[in-house]
Amino acid sequence: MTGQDLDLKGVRSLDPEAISAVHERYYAEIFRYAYHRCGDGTVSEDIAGEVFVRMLEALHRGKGPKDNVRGWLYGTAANLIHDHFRDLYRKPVESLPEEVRDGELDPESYVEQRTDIEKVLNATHYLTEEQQQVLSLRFGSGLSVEETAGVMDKKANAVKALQFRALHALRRNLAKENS
Amino acid sequence: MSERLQDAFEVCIGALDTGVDLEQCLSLYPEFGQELREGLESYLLLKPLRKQTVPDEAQQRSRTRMLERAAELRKQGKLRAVWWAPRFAIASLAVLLAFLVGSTGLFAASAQALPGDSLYTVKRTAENMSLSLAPNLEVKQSLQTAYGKRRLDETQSLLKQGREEDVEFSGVVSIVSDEIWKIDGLEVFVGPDTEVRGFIEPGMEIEVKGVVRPQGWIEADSIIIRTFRMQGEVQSMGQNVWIVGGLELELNPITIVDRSLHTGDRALTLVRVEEDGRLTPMVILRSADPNGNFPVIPIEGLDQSEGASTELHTVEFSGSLESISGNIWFIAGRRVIVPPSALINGLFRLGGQVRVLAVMNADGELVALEIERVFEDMIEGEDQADDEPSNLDEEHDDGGEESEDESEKEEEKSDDTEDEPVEEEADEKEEQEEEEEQEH
Repeated sequence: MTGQDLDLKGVRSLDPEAISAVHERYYAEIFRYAYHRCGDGTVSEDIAGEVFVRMLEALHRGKGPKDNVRGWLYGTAANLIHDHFRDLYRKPVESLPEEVRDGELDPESYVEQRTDIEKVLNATHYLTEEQQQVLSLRFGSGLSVEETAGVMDKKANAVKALQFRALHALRRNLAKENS
Repeated sequence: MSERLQDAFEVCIGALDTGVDLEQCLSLYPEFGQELREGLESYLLLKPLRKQTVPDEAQQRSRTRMLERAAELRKQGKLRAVWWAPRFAIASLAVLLAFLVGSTGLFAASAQALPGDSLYTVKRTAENMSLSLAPNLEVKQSLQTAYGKRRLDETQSLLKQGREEDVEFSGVVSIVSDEIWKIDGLEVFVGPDTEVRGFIEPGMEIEVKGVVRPQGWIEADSIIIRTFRMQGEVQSMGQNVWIVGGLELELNPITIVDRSLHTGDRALTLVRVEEDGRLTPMVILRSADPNGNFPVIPIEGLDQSEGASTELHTVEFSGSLESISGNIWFIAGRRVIVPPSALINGLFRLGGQVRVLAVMNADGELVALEIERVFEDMIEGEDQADDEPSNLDEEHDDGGEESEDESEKEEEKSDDTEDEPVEEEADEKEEQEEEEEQEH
């Protein structure tokens, strides 16, 4: 699916219906992708929202995706995630998520959950960009091998081999971290 | 790494997602042993990063943000189109304007022209040029208000002269009946052939296109809404665009907004329908009245020290119009700011009685929403009118003969410009505009 059936001309001319259609089609998977890369619901919401606004602005300027809408959205999301981590390393901020503040999740469970997430996230950060990308597309967004190949502009076999290498590297990184 | 191993991996992760045990999966492919196990165990380690459900609220917020950004871009596009209009054309207009005003006085001569007169086109052209050259929105809206009043005056003059001409004017409708509507004191015949756009109720500002008949009435060809009141939930509050009751409202610098409003609150708005169909909110206030009336608080009961509060109060009072200086009017000893968005209903003269509906802003200043002329016989029965505001129109109607007399008196005095300060103000502004253009 490259999004060729979407009315990009309509988005370019700021037609609310066309804009809503693109948003409806891709929002959830971009959100999941962002969550898989950063492990934070609030940050994922910010990143996913920004991706769609940037696409709208780019199309309105006569730029943006020509046919591979999905590829463009994931590329922009990946850039925003890099920016997020760069900012995070410069000035780390620790804030409690809404679920804990509102009392829906008790702090102990949250810390336990968070520890698991941090451990895996740290291990993924030592993977190459392509390896991180393939894992998040396949297991975060839930794309098929063929869809992932479309986004990454690779052949299906190459995607399969890449994801397998990424999983083994992840395992090694986690083992190092635990030792 | 074999292709068969990769295929086995795909099958196994599908099985794991449906709840099949890891060992069961591995038993399906004993030939791949440890390599498949490591891959699948790593896959399971990634589970905490998988978000199964995406919050609906997050998706809704993102969609709203995207649509608001689209509305802002649309607005910027329109502004850019105006700013990038060929400089040459603007310069040519300015030169033409200077030439016409300076050397022939044609525009000055056309000022008294009525529809059907040979100079009337010149008059309207001059107005359109002034509007297109207005330096900002505030000046433009002042001019539009002044020109709107001119159209009413022209229609009244044509009626007095018993002429038959096409007219167009805007005014506040006070009576909506089967045949005869009353619009700013003018009786308008609305027949089966009249095109009426929108559901029109008393109190709305409407635009009328029609014909003045020598017999002394106006036949409407079309009637459309210019301003209306609307009550609804505040659904989103963008920087420039709010959505209230399902309507997308583009805020502009002169919109009066109650900043204490939040998403989900009920708001009352006064909305203007622009020529291109866009909706410009003039006022957005917190709504406490289920009938959609502005929350009126008698001024005597309002503690002025509350002005610092973030909530806006609406006040209503009547009194003598004491002075007008620019957009500052003194009414019954009170200083009232009259923005271009205020609805001005009727002809005014210093010393005359007016009724004011205003909002008290955060600085404790009174900003007019509506000002209407009050006829002397209405003041006597004011207590009644205050109790039942809906009778106000009937009071107008009952006093119909007297009010006609009043307008005749004003017509007689029309040569004396001091008696028509509002008109004078508008003309002064326009002249100032034209002079500025000449200087440029």
